[in-house]
This record gives sequence, C-alpha cells and structure tokens, in this order.
Amino acid sequence: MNDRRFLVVCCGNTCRSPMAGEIIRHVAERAGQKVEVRTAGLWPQEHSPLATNAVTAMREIGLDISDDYPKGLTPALIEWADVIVPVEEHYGDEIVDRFQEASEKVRTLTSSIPDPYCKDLRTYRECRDLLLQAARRLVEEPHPG
Amino acid sequence: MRDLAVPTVEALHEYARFMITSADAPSASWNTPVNELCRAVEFEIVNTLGDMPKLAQLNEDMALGEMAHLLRDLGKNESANAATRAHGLDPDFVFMRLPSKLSKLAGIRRQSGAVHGRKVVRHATQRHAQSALKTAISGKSAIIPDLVCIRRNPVQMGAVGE
Repeated sequence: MNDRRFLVVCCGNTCRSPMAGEIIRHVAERAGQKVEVRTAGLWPQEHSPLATNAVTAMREIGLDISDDYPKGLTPALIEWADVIVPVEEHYGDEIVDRFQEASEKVRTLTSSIPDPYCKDLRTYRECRDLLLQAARRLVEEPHPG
Repeated sequence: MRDLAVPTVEALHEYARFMITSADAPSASWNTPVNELCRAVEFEIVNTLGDMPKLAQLNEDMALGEMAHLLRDLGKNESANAATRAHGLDPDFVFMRLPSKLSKLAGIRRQSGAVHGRKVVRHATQRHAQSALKTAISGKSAIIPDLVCIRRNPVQMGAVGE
C-alpha cells in the first residue's frame, strides 16, 4: 500500500498548516500509518519565515518545523495529494474554486481553527492542541486503499 | 457595477474573493487585496480618461505612480487643459486632485509589498488593505466613485466653473 499523501492548506502557510502538517505526520506514525505530508497557503507569505511562536509551540511537544517555510498552492501539489486538508472549512471552497479537480480530495480538518498569527505563545498552544485533536480524528477516519 | 470596465470588475472580484476567505486571517499575504484594488483603479482611470486625445498615453499599461506623474506633467500643457475642459471636466481634478490620490495609493502599494530581487522584504497587512480600500473605493472622494461620477455627470463632479 502506498503512503497516504496529505496536503494541508491554510492562508499564509506561516503557522496553522505547517503545525497541522507535522502533527498529522506525527499522529499517523504513532498509529502505524505511513503518510507523506506537505503544506501550502492560499495567499502565502512567501520568502518570510514561519511564525516564531508556531515553531516554539511545536518544539514544546517535541516536533520541529523550524526548517519549513511558506509556499503557495500549486496544481502539482493538488495532483500529488490524496487528501487535501484545509484548516478552515471555507478554505475548501476557495481550493475547489481554483482547482476543480480537488473537489473529491478535500477533507475538512475541523470547522474552524482561528488564525493565531502575531498572537502570544498561549494562543499558539491552544491552536496546537486543537490541531492535535483534529489530526487524531482525521487519521482515524477510514480511507480507501 | 455595470458602470465599471470589465477588468475593473474582475480585479474587484479577486479582491472580494480574498476578503471572503481571509478577512479573519492576518497570516495571509495581504499583498493580494492591495494589488487588486490598485489594478482596479488603474483600469478605471483608463476606462474614464483613456479615450481623451491628450490623455491617450494612459492606455500604455502604466502603474499608478506613472499615471500620477503623467497627469501632473500634462497639467502644465495648456492644450491638455483645454481638451479636458472641452470634455466638461475640471483640469484641477484631472491634473491635481486625481494625481495626488493616485500617488497616495501607489505609496501604500510601495510601502506594503516592496520587492528587492526575488526576496519580498515585507508583506502588506490588513491595515494597508484598509488604507487602499479607503483611497480606492470607500473613503470620502475615493478614486473609483469619483471616476464613475464624472463619467455619469461631469458637470457635478469636477466640472468647469465649479
């Protein structure tokens, strides 16, 4: 069986999707699933670093996203993915609007994970914990193949 | 909307798409709404003034700052002033007030998304987008409503003898 490929999408690709991507990878591996994970932003802050508090909040649970950086959503990424995971439900509409072929792949992580950008570390921890819960539900979902 | 040029409407549509999706996402790059508002103004300047003989240069794919510069320069030319009056427009509006607003909007774009080589040194914020929105559309004497107004009724907006 091939590794399941997850593409996690948020707006800026500076906080939520890099955090969610690493968390999904971690949760899936602990569940014995082989996955590949990539992340992208609908309107990414390209050439900027990830949010420092995102890196710190992840480091606190032993996960390192410090090498990640914001990237845009591309047709190649859409084609690559088996599952496309927007961190907000309504981002899925924008993804499908841009890439109709994505419609069968979109699985909402949760209805809403507020953008913690520029907030304090406590807010990033709350975001991380929401993502952990959502990732567990996502990984436990039955999937074809 | 039917008074606006098709490319203006398309730029405003892109702006709206961003706002619908990302209004509550400060982490998004807000360069998109700033740029789309600037593009909408650029298209609408051409749509409104581009067919005037003395202002035909506006059709040459110019950015806001270049448009402002050109209009200020043309304002020094008496025949351009006369042609503008002949269209029922106030030269003070076309050659002074409008370039001033265009320069302001160009400044917001320049401040918000400066690019050096391939490296984006900063991204626009929500505040930049709000300033651009005010200047382009929603503020008092915003550019696009003024342009629509002078097309509909030049006597009311910037008319000669006002």
